[in-house]
Amino acid sequence: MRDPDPRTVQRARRGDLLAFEDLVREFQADAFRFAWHLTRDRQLAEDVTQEAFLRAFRFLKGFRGDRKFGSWLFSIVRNCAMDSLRRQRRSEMPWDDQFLPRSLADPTARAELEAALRSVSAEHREAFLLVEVFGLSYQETADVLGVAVGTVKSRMFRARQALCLAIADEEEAT
Amino acid sequence: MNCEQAQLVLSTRMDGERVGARQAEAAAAHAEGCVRCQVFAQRSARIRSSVRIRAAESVPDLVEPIMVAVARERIRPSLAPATDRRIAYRRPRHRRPMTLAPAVAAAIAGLIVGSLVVGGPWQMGANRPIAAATVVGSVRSAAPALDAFQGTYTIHEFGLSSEVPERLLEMDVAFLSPQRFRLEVDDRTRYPSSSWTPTDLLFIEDLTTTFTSGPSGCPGDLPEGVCPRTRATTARLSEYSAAAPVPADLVLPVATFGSTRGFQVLDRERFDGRDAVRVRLSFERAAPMFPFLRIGGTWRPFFDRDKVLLWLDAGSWLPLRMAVYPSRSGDRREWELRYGRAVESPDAPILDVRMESASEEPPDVSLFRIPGASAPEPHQLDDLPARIGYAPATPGDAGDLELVSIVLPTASAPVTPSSLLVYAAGLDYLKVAERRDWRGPGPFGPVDDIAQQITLGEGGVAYYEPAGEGYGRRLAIHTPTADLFVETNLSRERLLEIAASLPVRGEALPSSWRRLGSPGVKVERIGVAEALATAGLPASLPERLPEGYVVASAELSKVGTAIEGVTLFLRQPDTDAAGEPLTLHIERDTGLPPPSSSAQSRIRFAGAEGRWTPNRSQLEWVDGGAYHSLQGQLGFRALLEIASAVVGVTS
Repeated sequence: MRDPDPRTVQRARRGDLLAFEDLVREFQADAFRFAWHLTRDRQLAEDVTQEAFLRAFRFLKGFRGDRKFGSWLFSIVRNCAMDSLRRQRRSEMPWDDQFLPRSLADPTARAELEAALRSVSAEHREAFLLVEVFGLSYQETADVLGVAVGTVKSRMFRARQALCLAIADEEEAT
Repeated sequence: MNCEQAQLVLSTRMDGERVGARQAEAAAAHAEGCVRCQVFAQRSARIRSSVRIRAAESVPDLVEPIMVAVARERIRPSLAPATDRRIAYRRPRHRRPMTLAPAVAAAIAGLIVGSLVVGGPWQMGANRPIAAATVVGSVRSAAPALDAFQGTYTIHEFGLSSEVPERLLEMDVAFLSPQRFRLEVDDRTRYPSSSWTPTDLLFIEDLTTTFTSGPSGCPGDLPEGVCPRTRATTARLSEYSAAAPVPADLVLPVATFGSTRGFQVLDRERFDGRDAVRVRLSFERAAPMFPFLRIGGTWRPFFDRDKVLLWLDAGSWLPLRMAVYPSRSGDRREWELRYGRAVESPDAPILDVRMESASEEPPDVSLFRIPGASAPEPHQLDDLPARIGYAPATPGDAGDLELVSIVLPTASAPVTPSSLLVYAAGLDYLKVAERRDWRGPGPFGPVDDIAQQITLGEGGVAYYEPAGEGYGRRLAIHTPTADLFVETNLSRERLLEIAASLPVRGEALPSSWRRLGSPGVKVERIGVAEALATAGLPASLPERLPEGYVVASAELSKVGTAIEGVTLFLRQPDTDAAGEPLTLHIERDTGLPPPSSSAQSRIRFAGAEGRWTPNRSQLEWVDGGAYHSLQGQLGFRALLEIASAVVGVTS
């Protein structure tokens, strides 16, 4: 994830709405995708994205730039998603067959991966999502999840192990 | 190194994370001879490509709703402390230039305006779209921070008449908090004969006292009998005004951008060396930005839907230029014919107002001295009970607004309040007027009978009107002991919050005030739900209305005993400028009345028979055995669209 021009963030911190709108334009797609992956509900993901940007605007003054804007925003999206899932009394990230977009080029590969991902625990899946799908570094992922870098490293490894195992099972079954 | 350790290293390296050289070497050496680790690496790579090679997902565009929420957030004073808002401005070192040649003035305008923005000019992406809510929120939040302003402008007007095809006027505008405005127009046109009276205007507003001076309007090329020449300057002085300050939107377009609807943000572009946001809106929508047209003198006419292009400074949100172009619509041609005007090209401006210079240097207080007005008597809140017999209601939550004036009007006009409290912060204002002996009928103050009945705070009733016709957003509150009128340029939400903090509990207007009539005709204000039911309309009707419109209020009318009609008043909640107020009148078991205008055309739409009367902007039709009339200055197409949404729902 590309970091925004620091001058834009500075201006947005001073309350410049044009600058904040620039940030919204730049990050809304990633924020929505992340929210969608966390909630698996399009409407809920839209609500979460809106709420996350509103919270980001409120808290922007407190953003000191000691971590990347993108990972700071993602941690807010994650908190908003957890809050809204909690409100819906869904304690864990929901799961269905749509982890990956239906339009994924190779349907066989998709089905295989869907099945594999289902076998991975929620916390491993979350780390995997941030690193593999959103291209975050371990440090950024750690910032989003509020864990140590070492934890991200081991979760990524465990996620890959589980996925490789699941793919092996699929291969044997076919 | 075992498989577990080697795969951890492989996984970490795959993600581009740092691994010690020794560890990397050991892992590579292990994997070379280990089939399990090779399979792990291959499968991991396959998973990666499956995840990363994916078609674009459909992502909704959420910018507008996000910015609407953010802009709303921004207007809550608790979240935007005054000190933070004020740093957006800096006092320039130089006073405004008073006598500069236009070209020189234009060249330095950018520099001076630029100095209003901390951080100096920055380059913006020209092609990035901008949400309407960003403009609204930015303008709104700049208002309370602006304490003083001086600006000079040039006004080029084209097409006043064949004798005077072009005019040049210079305009000085000054503002000093609290609520002091001055607008002076100096007509520099060389007229062809002495029969023309230059449009030299002076307008001063000092809190609630206003002064206007200028010639009465009369173009020099009209025959004497049609328009009597007058060189005499007409001066008007009013001791008390409940209306919005006239030139405020020239300083900062707070009223114009009181709603996110009814304008289009075109782009960002450099203008006079400044980053500017270019906005397109109709002349009617932009009317508050042309206050000089209303003050006096002679001006060319404008069609409501003429196009206005507006350049707003992207840092200070001051208007840098406003250019009016003739609308391309066919209605414009009809309008030209009706007024006997020449056909005008939609590509050439007919009015071009440019800011030549601006500064935040406080203007001299003497500029706001009103000729002939005596200095207002200062009052203290504590002294008022002894003076007027009651303690006026004051809002508990006025936010950043400070009480800046207490007026006790002496002239006793029918709707003059007995006390008026004025609150202000920068350009923001709030007026609370009170009257103890109001006998109705209708709400007190400039609030119409058709105002929307709303609930305040803990159940108190109030009557709300959106901004429009020279007024800000208004609220009337009726209580058994007092009637209050509150007016402001703050947002609707903020007005309702402040009104809810007044120590009064509003009641519904007495039933006798809600009934009007003459012999044989009775009109009664009724609730919206009741009106919809009476008219046989579904409660879901408001959902079918064009975006933003609400059913603000309703009336039941009875002519004799035979005809019973329901009238629904449809309005935009923030400002009338966002969409013309509409009236939808329905009479059950009634057909089309006989033709009442020579310019009526029969129409048929969505299976209903009807007719269109252009000079009244009225669409009438019969559907489900009921007569419908829809009226409002929206244009035929827009009215037809609304009518089509209503057709077929009358039960």
